[in-house]
Amino acid sequence: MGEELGATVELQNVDLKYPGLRPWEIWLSEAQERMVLAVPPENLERLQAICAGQDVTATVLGTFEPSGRLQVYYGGQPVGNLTMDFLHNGLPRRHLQAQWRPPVETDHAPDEPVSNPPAADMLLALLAHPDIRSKEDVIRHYDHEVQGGGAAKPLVGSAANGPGDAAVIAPLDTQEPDHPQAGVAVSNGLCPWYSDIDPYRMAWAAVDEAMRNAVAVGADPDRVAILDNFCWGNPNLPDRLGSLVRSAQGCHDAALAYETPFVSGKDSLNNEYTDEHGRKQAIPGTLLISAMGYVPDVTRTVTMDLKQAGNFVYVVGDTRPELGGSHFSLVGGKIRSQHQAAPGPVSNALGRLRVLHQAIRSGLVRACHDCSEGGIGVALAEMCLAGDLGMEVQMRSVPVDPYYAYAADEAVLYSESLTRFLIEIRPEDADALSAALGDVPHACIGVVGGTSLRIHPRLPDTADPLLDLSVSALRQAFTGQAQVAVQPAPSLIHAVPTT
Amino acid sequence: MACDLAGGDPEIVHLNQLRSGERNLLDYHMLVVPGGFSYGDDLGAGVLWAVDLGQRGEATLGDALARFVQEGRPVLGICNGFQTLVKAGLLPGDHDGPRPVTLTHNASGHFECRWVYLEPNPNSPSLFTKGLTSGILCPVAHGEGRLLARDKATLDRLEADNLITLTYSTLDSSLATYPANPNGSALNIAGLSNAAGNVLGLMPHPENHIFPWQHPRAHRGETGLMGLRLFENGVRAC
Repeated sequence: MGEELGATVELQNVDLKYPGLRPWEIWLSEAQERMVLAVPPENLERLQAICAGQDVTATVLGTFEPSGRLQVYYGGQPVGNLTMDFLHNGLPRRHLQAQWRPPVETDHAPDEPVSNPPAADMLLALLAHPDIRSKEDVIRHYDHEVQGGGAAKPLVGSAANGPGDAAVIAPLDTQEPDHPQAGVAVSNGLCPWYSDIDPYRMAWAAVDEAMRNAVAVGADPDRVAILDNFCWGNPNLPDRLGSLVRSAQGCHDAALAYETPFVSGKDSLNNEYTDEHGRKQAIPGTLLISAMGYVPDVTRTVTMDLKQAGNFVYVVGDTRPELGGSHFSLVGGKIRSQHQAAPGPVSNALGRLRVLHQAIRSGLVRACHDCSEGGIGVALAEMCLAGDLGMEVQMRSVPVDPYYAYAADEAVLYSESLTRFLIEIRPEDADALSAALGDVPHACIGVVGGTSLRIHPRLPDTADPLLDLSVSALRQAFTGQAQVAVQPAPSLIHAVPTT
Repeated sequence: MACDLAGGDPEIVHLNQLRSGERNLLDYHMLVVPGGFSYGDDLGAGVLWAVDLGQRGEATLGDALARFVQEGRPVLGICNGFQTLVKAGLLPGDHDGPRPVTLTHNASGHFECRWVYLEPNPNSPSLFTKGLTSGILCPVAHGEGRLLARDKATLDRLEADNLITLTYSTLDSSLATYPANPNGSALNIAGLSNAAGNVLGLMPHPENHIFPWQHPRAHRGETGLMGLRLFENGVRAC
């Protein structure tokens, strides 16, 4: 606070919880629930009266003064005297080595079509994966209705068990007469499984996911701010620092592409553990992006649960078979070698988000869910179980990047390509939706109805559906009440450090 | 906000303002003892706040509150406020000897936040639920909301006197078990009235369902069953 001016502080004026603290302990203590305020002298009496009325102690510690120095006293004795310039700029810059190399493929993935367990088993295994399965047990332990601001709940749908893309909070005391109630969408993006393949793409994907989630519930993509939270290994080791630098480059480029500012962030470094061979291992480089987006009108927000039988389901955004680090691979799905890239940046993703936001604001969208962990397949299943409605889906209608026109069903169904959404609309709004989406790739892929999720394969002459699962079976897998036939491959589960 | 929408002219008053005499409780028509936490809920939820409200003697807050209740002015305690009214002995009302009921840790053993459906008792003397022909949908958010009575006779008396004003229920009138009854309260009790009907305490938060968009299935076109009606009845009775 005193960087540009200077300050004098008397430590004996600090209220202590217990006696015997030395001056440097008082100065550096991180005791909680304390705040330092800069108060003009003429306001001091009024501030002290307010504090006294709430039984809050407030004491004068010192003054700001144009000395350019920080001068700390204890009982009148000087205990610290430094120039502000040295304090803020005196630390010499460290030089560290950073190195990043793409991962070396140790086992050769097949070029030929691969065989996987039945598609239904794979979908149930995905729904039961710890990253995807219901978080209701945790969410209910926290007060997500405090002060009545929940305009879109974290748990949505007919039985409040669907995974909402983001919560929308409406601060009630901001309501103005004859104006819609505005709100704030709070979302996040987290894609640690891409880190081992490419930290740059991982960071970009995390920003995209946070933006997707905010826009999916009704936030304006042009009014979103984001935060970063890095959890990494020891940055003094060149490979750890190399991946950290590469992810920071991803953050930088994505923030510019989405025109969204990083307003704050934090980090936790040196997360290392020793494996059974005595080797140091870093945790997977993990970046959490949190987003806060302005929602102009909370009555124009959208949840992800299916609403009405007979409605159409569209996919917005095209799919590339990007299955590197995908949850399909985490539950043991085998992937062809040319599909092992982590999801890459989408050109003009912001334009796509803007168009979708306009469609949501104009009231065309009845449900919206982003495609993230487990891709289109998991997103479809989640919309069904949240709305307690089935769906009939034609995979051949899903827009696929023409370069990959012959990709297998599961490569399209479980790809985690970025900037994609599933939306539900009323049949009569189909023309208006296509006009609103313009040249953004989109297609009607299904119709809501029945009590099961039935997905037909991409090959037109196949009579049998790729999978046909009842909504209750989907829900049981999602809530951890079902035994799933496919288990995650042990080699893909990272050991978790104990400290 | 709820009092405002219900037609009242509410003011948030700090306990210290009442204690110092800066504000006088008896200058007001209605009292809402709100939810949240008080004194970190040390020694049990609402216990220390109840000590503040229970202190008796000339010119004490306890005496002012006793007169406030005696004169029939509406008092609504929500969540921590309900816990406080029970622990201060204001609910379920006059009793000799030890406190007949308490609010303790949820049967689940942890804090829980979820929407619940409350069924009003048409025979309750409560002025807050007067004329309510349908239930109330609103959230609970508490760790200590399980209402337990000293003995079965106490429960029988609460039931006979119709002081059980709101019970956890289901929209389809099926038997309310967990999670419809989120905390394991005896007889699914969610809210209690005093015999005079002017004091009501409840664990759920009716003030968090006062706009249609707060409904947990608003996006599915569902509306109604708002908690605002309790406040409208309270203000009307002033």
